[in-house]
Parts: sequence; C-alpha cells; structure tokens
Amino acid sequence: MKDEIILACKDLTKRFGAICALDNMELQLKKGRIVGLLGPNGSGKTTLIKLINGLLYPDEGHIWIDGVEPGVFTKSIVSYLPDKMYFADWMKVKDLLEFFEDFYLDFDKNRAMEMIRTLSIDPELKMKSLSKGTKEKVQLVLVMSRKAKLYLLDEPIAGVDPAARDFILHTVLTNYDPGSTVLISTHLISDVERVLDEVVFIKQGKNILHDSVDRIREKTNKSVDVLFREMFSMIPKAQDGFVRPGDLRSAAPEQEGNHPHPENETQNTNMEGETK
Amino acid sequence: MEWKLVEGRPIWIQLYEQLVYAIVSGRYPCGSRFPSVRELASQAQVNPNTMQRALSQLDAAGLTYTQRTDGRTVTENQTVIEIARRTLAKEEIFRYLNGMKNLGYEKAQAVAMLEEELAHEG
Amino acid sequence: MIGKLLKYEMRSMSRRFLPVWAALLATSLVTGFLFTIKVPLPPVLRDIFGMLSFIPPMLLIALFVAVFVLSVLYVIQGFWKGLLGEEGYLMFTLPVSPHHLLISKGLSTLILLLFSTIVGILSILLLTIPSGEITLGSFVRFFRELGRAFGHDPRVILLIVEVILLIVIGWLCNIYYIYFAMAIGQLSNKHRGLMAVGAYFGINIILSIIMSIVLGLLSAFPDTLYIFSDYLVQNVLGASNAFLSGLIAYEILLLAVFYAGTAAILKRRLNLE
Repeated sequence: MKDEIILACKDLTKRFGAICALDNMELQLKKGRIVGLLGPNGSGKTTLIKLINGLLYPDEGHIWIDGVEPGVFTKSIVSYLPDKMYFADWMKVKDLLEFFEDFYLDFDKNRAMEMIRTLSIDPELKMKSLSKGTKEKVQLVLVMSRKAKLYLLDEPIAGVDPAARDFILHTVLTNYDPGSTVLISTHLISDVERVLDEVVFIKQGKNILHDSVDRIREKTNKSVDVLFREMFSMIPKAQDGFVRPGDLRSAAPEQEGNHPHPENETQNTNMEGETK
Repeated sequence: MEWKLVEGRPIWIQLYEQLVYAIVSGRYPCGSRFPSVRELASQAQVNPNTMQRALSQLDAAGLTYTQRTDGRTVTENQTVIEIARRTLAKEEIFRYLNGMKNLGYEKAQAVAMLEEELAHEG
Repeated sequence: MIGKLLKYEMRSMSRRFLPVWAALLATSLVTGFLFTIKVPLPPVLRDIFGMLSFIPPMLLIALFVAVFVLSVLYVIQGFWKGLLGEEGYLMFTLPVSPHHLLISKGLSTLILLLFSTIVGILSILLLTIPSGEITLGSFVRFFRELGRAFGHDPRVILLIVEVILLIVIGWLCNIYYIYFAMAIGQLSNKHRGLMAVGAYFGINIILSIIMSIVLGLLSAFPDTLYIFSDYLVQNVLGASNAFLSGLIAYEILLLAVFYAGTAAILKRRLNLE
C-alpha cells in the first residue's frame, strides 16, 4: 500500500504572461508521507498546489492524484488549506461544520466538533467575530477533520506565534491518516523539519531536490534548513556555489566517528525497507 | 520526556539514542509496555514514520520486542540492557577523555584529575 | 449538488433581503393608510401630521431604490466576492463541477429578482388597497376586459406566456452577461474591476454592431419589411407572437454564449486573487 503513488506530475508547466511559474515540473509523492514543499517566495509553491487542487489549469503537462487528473473526483479526496481566509464571514462556526459535512463525504463532524471544543471556541459565534488566529485554527480544524488522501497545506505556519505553530503541527500529526500524504509548503523550514518525511526543493518552477529528511542529514551532516539556506543563498559565491542533487550523493559524511552506533551504517541506504 | 533534537544529524538516530537512554536509565523498566508510535511521535512532535524507524531500531537492537496483539514491550533480558548501558557509558568516558585531550592533557593526567575531583567530592 | 449549493445561496440571500422586503411591505401598508386618513384633526396636530406624513412615502421610495440597488449589487457581489474573491478558494475546491457553481449562482440570483419583483408589486398593491379604489375584483375585471379585447383568442395566453418568458430569460441573460464580463475582468492581474467594466461595455458595443449589421441586411431587402408590416396589420396577434418568439430565441442564443464563455474561463483560466 505504502509504495503506491498518490501524486504524480509530469512536464507540468504554468505560465503567467511572460513569467514561467512552473517549468516542466516532475514530481512523484508516495502514500503515507509528510512532505515539505520548500522554496523561497515566488518559486512556484503556491502555483503547484493550485494546479493540484484544480484552482489553476496547466498550460502543459499532466497531474494525477491517485491516478486521476484534477476534477470533481480528485477534489473529493484532496483537503486544501489556503494561505488566506476563505469563508463568508457571516457564517457561524457550526454553519461551517455543516457546510463541510454537506459537501465532503469524508468529513468527520464529531472530530471537528471535539477539536473546536478543545480550543474552547463557541460554535455559535460568527466567523467575523473571531480573531484572525482563531479563524485560522477553525480553518485548520475543518481541513484536518477530513479523511482525505492528500492534504495540501499552503504556508500554514507563516506569521503565527510559536504556540499556534505547535498547535498546527500537533493537529497535523495527530489527525492525518497514516495512509494519506500531507504536502506542506513553507519557507520556515527549521520549524517543520522534524515532522517531515521528505522534502522537495523547488526553485524557479523546477523540482531541484527530492529526498528524505534523514537521508539529507546523513549525507550532508546538515539540517535541511541549513542546506536550504546554502542552496538558495542570495549572497554570490566565488564559484557557482549551489549544491545540486547529484552533489549530495557524492558528499561523504565527515564526522562518522561521532556516531557510536555501528548499526546505523546498514540503515543508511535503505529507508523504505525498514518502515513496517 | 524531554526530547532534544540537534541540527545536522538524522532525526531518527537522535530519537533512537534518546529512547535507548530512557530504557537503560530505567525510565521504561524491564518488561514494561512501551508507548505507541503515535503517542511518542506526538510527544516529540516528529513524524510518525521517523519515530517508527527509531522504534524498529530498538527492536533490531533487542531492547524491545513487538507482539502482534500487545504492542511493544521492553525486553526482560537484563544482559541486553546492561550491554547497551555499557556502550553509553563508554561513550561518556571517551567524550571525557576526548575533551581533556583537546584541552592538552595526557590520558594519565586526565585520570589523575578525575580521581582528584572524586576525592574532593568525598 | 446544485440543491446543496442553492441551499447555501438562499441562506445568504435571505439573510440580507428578508429584512428589506419586510420593511418595504410594512412601509407600503403604513403609507397606504396615511393616504386614506381623513379624520378631522386640531390645527396644531394637523401641521405636525402634515410634516410627518411626508416621511413614509419618502421612506418607501428609499426602500424601492434600496431593493433595486441591493439586487444589482447581489448579482455583482455574489459572483465577484463569492466565486472570484477569497471565497472562491473554498467554492472551487468543493467536489462539484464549475457548471454547478455557475448554475446555482445564476438560479439563486434569478429567484432573488423574482422575489424582489413580487415584493415590489405587492407593496404597490398594499399602497392602494386601503384607499379601496383598487380591489381584487378590479384585477379580475382587468383580465376579463383584456380577454374580451382579443376575442378570447387562445393566442393571447401564448402571448402572455411569451412576455413572461422574455422577461425571465432577459433577466437570466443579463445575469450571465454580468458574470461573463466579470469572468473576463478577473483575467487581469492588476485591474480586475476596471477590466470587468470594460468588458461589460465592450460586449455591449460588439452586440450593437452585430445588431446594426443584421438590421442593415434586413433593410437591404425592403420586401421583407413590407411583408411583415402587412402581416402586422392583418394579424396583430400572429405578428406579435412571431416577433416575441424571435426575441426569445435571440436572448437564448446570447444566454448560451455568455454561459459557455463564463464556464470556459472558470474552468481553464481561473485567476483567483
């Protein structure tokens, strides 16, 4: 089950006028992963997410979600958290729960209600009477209360305080179904690194690196955050200082002696076989 | 339990090390039930797959074993735990000696200073 | 799915319009009664009453304008904010086809216009009923006279149906005309509103050009016009029927173009803010 592909993009291209937001993007995500979509602002993260959830239509190439191109079916298995508030603000919290229950068969209203109660939000309140932070929490609760196959979270932790960030990550970790995949776009990597299985680095609309977090750490002895800063550094270097995916493979870990567990060695190359 | 993750090293290895430490230090006693993957992952705020990998490594090291119906249990085999404890102890010793070496002390001096310190402590 | 979408459309609509409709009807009733009051009053009170009696009619006019403006705003806002604004992020990721969204928006707006019209007619009736000059009987008489005038020709009923159809389809046509203009407007990244207004007038100009070409072609064949005017003189009902059917067909054609254009843009070139 786990090795099935939930999302595949082939030659995916999207232009906005003269700007090429996505440039022959190739990507495959497996089921049961939490994946970070990492890139600086304007690198094409949001465009990719909008193409997957059907808010945009590709100029070239294809997308398959669970084997099907975006449409009514894929929208029923994709749960999307945009980076803005998307509710009519006259609706009450409980109206929104009803709305989601009406349209999404996979929505678990009881679970949502429970989370709303845990957050001590009054379901009778109108959305417009809630603070921005609370609105965002309600939106996250709705999105994560679906038993979707693919969750798309667009910049969920941008501009929130550490407590809210912990709530968001906790909610994602405790609610996502082990068989489903979560794609989180962000540029705040150090905050999410520990919850990710894999990362995709996206630069100028291209997928320039896709690997597991632990493999990156093993190969480079750097955190993904540090690697990201190096790869996307705005400061010019003497030579072309960008690390490419190929470079990572050849980079030998330098401080092997610091890890006193010889059994680690055997695990380095096979991560897939190990998870049960 | 407090989880500390540092940059630059695989997360699962760090989780594994801290779990081993928790077992040998008696936090999870022999034969006791181990928390579930989800519980631990949520506690450490890490990916369940990563936690799973660390736990599988505990199984592989013989520190825990998994029964289909009963979840994960800490081994009753004291020897295995003792070996793991010794390994960690050795690391601590090497770390000390290494630190002293970096400060420019010979091994013998390091040992002497340690004994002196212990004598002071009484 | 259209049913569910309509349910939420109606909910948001009734929230806004029920109070205005109720206020309109109530004000009509009060104004109607004021007109009929002929009780002798002491001079002081009469002056005050004279001043106060201006208020309900003014309010009534204001409410009529309000219903009209709100209805037009609803056509625009329901689409602009509800689909092309931030709420679009929710609506276009629902597991429904864009056609369902478009149809439910158009239908709910049509229902709104129908209700507003009915409320408007009712309020005029309420205004006149207290005076006793117009009763239910007068309506019955009106329609009976109308029937007699045309000699109980069954085509009169057809004519009435056609007029109603023309009005309803005309509304729908205008609703989707506005939607189409806004769909074109949202293609622009910076001047969405301006582009929408531009598209609205642009389409209008194109349609007038087409119309004048068609009329020009018709006048190139004066015979057809003579034939039609002859026919009109001989057979008023038949000619009106033909004319109305032609207009309805034209509106349906326009409606189809506006709908298809809007649907295509929403499907392929959606450009949410």
